[in-house]
Amino acid sequence: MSPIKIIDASGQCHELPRAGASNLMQLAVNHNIEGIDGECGGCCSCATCHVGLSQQDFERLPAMHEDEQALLEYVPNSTPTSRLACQLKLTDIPEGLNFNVIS
Amino acid sequence: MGNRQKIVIIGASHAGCNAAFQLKQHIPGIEVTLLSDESCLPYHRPPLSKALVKGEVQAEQIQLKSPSAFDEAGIELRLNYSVKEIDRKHRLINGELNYDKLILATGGAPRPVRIPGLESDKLVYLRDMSDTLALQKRLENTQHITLVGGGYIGLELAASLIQMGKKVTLVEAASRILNRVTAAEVSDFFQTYHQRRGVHFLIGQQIEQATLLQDGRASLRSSDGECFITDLVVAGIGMLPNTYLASKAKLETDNGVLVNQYGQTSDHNIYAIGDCASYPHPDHPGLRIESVQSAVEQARITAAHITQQDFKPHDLPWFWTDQYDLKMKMAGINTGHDATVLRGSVSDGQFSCFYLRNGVVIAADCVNQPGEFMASKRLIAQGGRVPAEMLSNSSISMKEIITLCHQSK
Repeated sequence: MSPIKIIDASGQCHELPRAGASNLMQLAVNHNIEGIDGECGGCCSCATCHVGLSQQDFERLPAMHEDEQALLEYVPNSTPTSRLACQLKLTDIPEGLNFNVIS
Repeated sequence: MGNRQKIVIIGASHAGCNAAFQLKQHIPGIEVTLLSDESCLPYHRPPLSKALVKGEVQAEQIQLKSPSAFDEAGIELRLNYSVKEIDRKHRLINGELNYDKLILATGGAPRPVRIPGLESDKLVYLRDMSDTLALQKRLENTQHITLVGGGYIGLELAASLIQMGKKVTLVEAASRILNRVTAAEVSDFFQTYHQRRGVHFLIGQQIEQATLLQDGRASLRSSDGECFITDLVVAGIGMLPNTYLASKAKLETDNGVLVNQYGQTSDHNIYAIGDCASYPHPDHPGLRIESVQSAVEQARITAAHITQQDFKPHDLPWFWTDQYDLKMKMAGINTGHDATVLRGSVSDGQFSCFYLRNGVVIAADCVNQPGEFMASKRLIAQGGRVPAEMLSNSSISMKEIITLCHQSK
């Protein structure tokens, strides 16, 4: 599968190969992507792996669990197309999506 | 010096590891050497008492970074490296490693427990990966475990052990579990939740005497005279900051290595971050906050200071604990509260406990309420008075409360 495109907090675009991680947060942390901290290690507690997508890309992802939804409701700068990267398994991310780090 | 500064970091847990990567993020050309006295790659500590001890995840799955991430970032990671001495005059570690700036991220060690008559091989602690892996192995032939200390480590371990089918007695010296950190309502809720799943509590008691039995088990006697037989004692009564190296190098210490708001010690070329540092948090002076978030935040501040970058102001301190199907997240520090307000249903295990001082929310414990937790962080950061009857009324949303509270400021 093709790499995952992620635009970091300072606007730089990174193409990350889908390897060495199970979810998008881990993948971004491994590549030192600015703005993705993943403090809680992926247990959906801290919301320090906040990413945004276009409406079209957002709809191509699997639905949110209620915990993720509840956190995102109050996360600063959250949008209707926000997600937490720790909840996105790499195997569930379709080709061609662009993620923007929101911090 | 400029970009070719050489930074050495002692300790590669949450604080040290994050500092290394932050430094590299700011100035890719900076030289960073990360020293760890452990043999494994840096890892997340919270799963040690939960998913890892239960065997739900393997050690490799809780690494902070992938094995190749250190090389790719240009960080020199040295495992099994034990620092004996810091020579401040020559800026030299163990007589062989030079530094321009040194970061101490040496963490802490479990506060020791003494139980008369108990041999050291029957009394273990949980702090590092190796502790968890050793415990896991011993549990194979263990039926009954006695936990000393009803703090987060003790309770998380109690939940894990019950889920593994073990018998558990938990001994707490104070008048209730979580005595230092939560309100009585929250402590009671957790105690009942554990009791229903089989944990036997000895509250307000200590183990006064142990006698080794012929079959290898130990008979313990509590201060109230209760006697019981156990296979193993695991103690979790807090930690002591590792300040040995700092003291030996004659840096100032007082319940941790004393640092300023940038993490600098009394020697400005040496910083201290994470559990080992006594950091002057602007809102909580004199309190050494032991948490992942605090470690990561201090790493960020120190890395920014060394590389002369701006850094974000402090976030509200927050913590979390997972026990059985309970996820409690805590926002803020409740020291000095004069009232508590409950919101939601304690009996259903879905509630929040708010801590107020002069009518202002300063902290919140949220059990299985992730949304209320995030909302509380906002509410606390924002400040402003909230009427208790509004806070306890679940039909008024947290969004409305935040808005009303903001207007009343």
